[in-house]
Amino acid sequence: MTLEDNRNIIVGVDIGGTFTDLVIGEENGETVHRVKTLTTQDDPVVGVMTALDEGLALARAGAAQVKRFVHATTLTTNLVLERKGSRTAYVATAGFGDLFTIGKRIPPADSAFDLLHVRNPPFVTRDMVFELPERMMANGKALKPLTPEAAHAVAARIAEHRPEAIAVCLLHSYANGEHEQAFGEVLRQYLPDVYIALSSKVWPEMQEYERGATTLISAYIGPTLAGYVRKLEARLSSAGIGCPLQIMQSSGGIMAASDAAARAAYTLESGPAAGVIASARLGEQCGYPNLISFDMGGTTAKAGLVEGGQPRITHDFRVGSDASAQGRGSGEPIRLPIIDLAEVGAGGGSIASLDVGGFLRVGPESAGASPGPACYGLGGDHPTVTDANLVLGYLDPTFFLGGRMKLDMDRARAAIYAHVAQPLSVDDVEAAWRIHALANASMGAAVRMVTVHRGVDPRNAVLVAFGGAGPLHAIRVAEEFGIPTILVPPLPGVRSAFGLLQSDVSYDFIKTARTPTENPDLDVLNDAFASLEQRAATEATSEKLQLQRSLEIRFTHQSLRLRIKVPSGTITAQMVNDAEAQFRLEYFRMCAINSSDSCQIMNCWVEAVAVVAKPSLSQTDAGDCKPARALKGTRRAYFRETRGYTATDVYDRAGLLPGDELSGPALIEELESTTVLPPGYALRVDEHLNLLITQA
Amino acid sequence: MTEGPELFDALSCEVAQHRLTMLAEEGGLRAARSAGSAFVSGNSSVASAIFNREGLMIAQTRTGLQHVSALRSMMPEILRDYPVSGMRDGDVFLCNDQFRGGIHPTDLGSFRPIFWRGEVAFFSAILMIVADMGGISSGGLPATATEVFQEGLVVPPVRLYDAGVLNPSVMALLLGNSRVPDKLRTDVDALVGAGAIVGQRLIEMVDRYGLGELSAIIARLFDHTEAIVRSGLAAIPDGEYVGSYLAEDDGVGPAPSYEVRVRIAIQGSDCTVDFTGSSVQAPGAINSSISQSLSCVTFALRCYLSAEIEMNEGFYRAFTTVFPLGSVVNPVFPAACNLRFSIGQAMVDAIHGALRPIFPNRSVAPSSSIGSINVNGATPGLETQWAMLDVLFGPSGGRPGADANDGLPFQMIGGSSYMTIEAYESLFPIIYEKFGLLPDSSGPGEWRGGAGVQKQMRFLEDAVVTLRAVDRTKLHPLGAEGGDPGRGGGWVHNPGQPDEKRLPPKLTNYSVKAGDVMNGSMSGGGGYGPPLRRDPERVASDVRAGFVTPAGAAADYGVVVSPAGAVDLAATQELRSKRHDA
Repeated sequence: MTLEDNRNIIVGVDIGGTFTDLVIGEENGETVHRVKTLTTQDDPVVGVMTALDEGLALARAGAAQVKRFVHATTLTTNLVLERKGSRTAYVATAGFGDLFTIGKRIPPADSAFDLLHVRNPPFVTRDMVFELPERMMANGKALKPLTPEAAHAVAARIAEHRPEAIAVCLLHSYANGEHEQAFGEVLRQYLPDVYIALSSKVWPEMQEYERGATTLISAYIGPTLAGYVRKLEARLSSAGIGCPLQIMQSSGGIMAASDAAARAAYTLESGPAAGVIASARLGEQCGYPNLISFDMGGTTAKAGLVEGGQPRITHDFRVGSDASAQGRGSGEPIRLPIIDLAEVGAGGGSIASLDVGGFLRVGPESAGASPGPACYGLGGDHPTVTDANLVLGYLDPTFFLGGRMKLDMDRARAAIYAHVAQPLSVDDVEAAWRIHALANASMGAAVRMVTVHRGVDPRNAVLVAFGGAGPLHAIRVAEEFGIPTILVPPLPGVRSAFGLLQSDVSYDFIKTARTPTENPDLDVLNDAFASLEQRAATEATSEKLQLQRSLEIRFTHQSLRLRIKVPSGTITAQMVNDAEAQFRLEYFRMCAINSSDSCQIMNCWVEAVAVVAKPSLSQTDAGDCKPARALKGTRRAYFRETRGYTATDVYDRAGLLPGDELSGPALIEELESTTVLPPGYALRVDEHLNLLITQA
Repeated sequence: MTEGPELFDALSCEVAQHRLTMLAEEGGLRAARSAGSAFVSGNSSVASAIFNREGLMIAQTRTGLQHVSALRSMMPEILRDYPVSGMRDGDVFLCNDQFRGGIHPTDLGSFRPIFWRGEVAFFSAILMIVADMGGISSGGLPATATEVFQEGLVVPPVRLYDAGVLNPSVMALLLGNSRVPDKLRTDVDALVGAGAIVGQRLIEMVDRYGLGELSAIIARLFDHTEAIVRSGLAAIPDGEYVGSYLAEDDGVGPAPSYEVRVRIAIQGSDCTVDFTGSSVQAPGAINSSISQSLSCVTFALRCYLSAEIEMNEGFYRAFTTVFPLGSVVNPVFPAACNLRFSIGQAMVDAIHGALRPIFPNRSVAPSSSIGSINVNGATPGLETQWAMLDVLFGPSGGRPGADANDGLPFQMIGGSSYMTIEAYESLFPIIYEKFGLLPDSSGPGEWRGGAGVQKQMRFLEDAVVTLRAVDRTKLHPLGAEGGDPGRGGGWVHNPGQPDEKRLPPKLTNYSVKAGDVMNGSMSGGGGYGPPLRRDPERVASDVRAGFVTPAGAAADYGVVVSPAGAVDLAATQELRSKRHDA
């Protein structure tokens, strides 16, 4: 590569809790470089700039050549988790101010019998809730008008409380947002610089709780995200990067950072979504339209589903839960489109222990990074999954994180012996195997949630394994479900950042428009689409957007809704008929019920998308099919199939070339991860340097 | 794919447990998702369980706690009427009979034998509240019923599907007895469809393990659960612990109250829970069928045992239960039972009271109860009647060291949540005027009870309503350890109008006119510890948040709060010392 002026460099940055990952590539170019630096907690921008300098050097590119800069952030996730969002006022219709104090939150199952359980407080305290004397009805007509006097009186009272953000959600504003908009204008007179989120703008869908929660969370995180984006843009600009900043959304689409402030809640699962997008794109390029994206790190494992090349999207996401990821039901519901991810508290740092009945448990408690697993030697003395993997020979004590960290085998053994082996009267190796295997079963729960629970047979999909610990456990997880093929992509440790280079621009807009599918009120639908497309034109500032419409349909007597795409142009009865037929088909596939019930349209959607240029898939010529060139040595590793330790070849992944084939047992090491190939499995390196693993 | 036998010794019990529980969960989830009644699909109170060929319970959902024992109680009744030998693949059985393991007619259970290699290997069982099963009032919750027949169509064990073929006569009979046959049909389809999916998954699991191995693992799971339960019971000092709690009148008979008495005897790791001495069954509908009683006892005892228990047959091995026949906790035919949480929550609070002396740091004051309102009417021009159900979930009482969680339903029904106002108003001719918490309703205490909850609605058409304030609107939730009772609760017709009328808590088929308003509320939970010991700053914080009024702060807590919301320390000291002297 050279410093030519016409290079179109693309940069992706994923800021995680521990590491900031940066990848840098070129539009339609094959080479992608990666940089991993420690996240600078106090000011994440510092870490980003460090990584950027290093990345530009690696790519021998100049800042001026950066054409796109895509960013995934955990900032908003952490604001919610740590309850560090803005001081937010909430405005409700008079008589309904207690919505979030009452809540709609399912307490986590593990607190069902805990008499002392204290739930998380709501995101808005009761003294910051203000009731507005007005009332809309379901048909969009005002039952009680909002008078200017009342609006000014309430706005003045709110101003006295000096909020940093204000969320407004009035009853039936999805049907008629006039009261909200009028009040928003009055508020701006009193508080011109305060962040204001109106539910009729954020998410105009029926159901005040979900719409209100989505609006409340937007306001809670909006000001901080806006400030952060402004700062990052300024720093990038002073570093000579002139291109606009783009932000990854939870839906897997990217948006202009300038739109992010108004659409803050769309960023809540920004990082994990990028990982699934990377898998989807990889599957598309390699001919695997159906796959399960499996990302395992230090504390959790996440699974996502890709069907027909598209990540599955959910609208039943909850944020700010009381407890672990499994307790998500206790969070507030966010209706925005979010890539369907299941997360379980099982990662390398998950602690193994025995319950009072003497059964082994793994997680959800985690040793975290500090004190970390016993083998880190940082004071942790509880055995973790990483300790078990070390004892089993899957990890090299001298090559962890490429040798940057030494692992202490004796401490790992001692912890496993004291807490698991001795009480179970088994040896430490057997105990380590049980920990490893039970961790696999726990992670299987995440895979099960996004497949079996959604009516999808996982055996028809390819499992894509990434994250530091993913390639170490993936084959056993696949075995749980009879998934025949496992794929370990290159750079498994920075896949999420890589996904940022692979995403297209996308914005979602929704409006509730209810009508039966039989004799539908076409005016209602056409009006809704017209207003949505108007919004898309003014609120989505990215270039070259194309619009895709869909209808959300349900059976009249059920709540389950599915989104069905419809063509553009004037909506006709025939289009509605076709959509209904498609709905029935998809419903049957999901629920195995052929209902005779009539159907109802609930919502209209418009998605504005723009396809961007991406790096092209790297292609490497086949080698001599002699993988011995990559052999680093041998190590004793434990496998169930060999009933004990067996001498296992260890390969350097960097030395493997397309066409190479290996059969298990074998270990394939790279900088941030190790792929464990058990006996009975065969591995082939494809032309894109993916490891394709199947049963021999 | 078959796993080697050594794996089973090593870890397959833990793994199998995961899988079985998730299967049960999946059944519940599936049924809820395709349910016809909006109340269920917006809720998580579907109970689902898996049984072995002998009808022993292997796994169950973690939610639907208030219902789940019913499946275990109905299962043997299905087997009694339909021996396993006569079952065929594709059979589905229904039951709701409260004298044969059911709860009340509207809680319908479905049971499906799951075949492996031509033999019944397991059963999937799922139960949920269905749209309407007839009876004298819409929605099957007649507050003043005196016989089960008034509560809905009784379904003894019947075969709905015969080898995969629907028995149209049974379905016709069910639908012919419902006010909303479309919705009922959807609900029954949801139960059947969910059971079929559990069946498929379970067969895949047996294919992997082999039936013999899986059965051996299940036997070990029973032992494991029993071991956890017994280790918890063994930690409780041996002895007899007694408690009692009063439920208020049943809205029918002359008795002002009904008593639940419990005697818990712990000896080593064995436990007997004996309700001898409890009141004779009520003429009204507050009785708790034996399966409902078992759910309540199971819930209350689990609060004092390990959180790690996976429910299966092993749980029950350590317990002996005595529910005297003909009492409020085990009524005989044809008693009405739809207000069962009246007695049910009295059982729970009697058990909490009995165990409080030995668990002084892990306790809770009595909680509030449930309110429900069924509305039905005929919209002119539409063929079928419209019928809606709305609910009020009362809160829990205070705990040592913590106030109750305001807004959350009392703990036994903790998985329940509300449908949105917008959903109700878009479906039914009704306008809500209020949905919120009631100030000064919390039982005062060092740790206060949860705030009571109210809804107010205006009817846009003439309608008939059935009101159930299940309990604790007259005999309010008691305080504990010096705490005061919760306050509030009940129904008011046209509040604030010249014709305002306070209605009895339990009222069936009461007519309202278009334009009428109904206010319903449930009381706050009981307080824990003396209110005068509450930190004045906490009282002031409650005043600022509106849970307590300034007048309430002075009267209930002896705390003087300034108009700005700050504690007036001097005035508070003076007021509190006067109270102490009094």
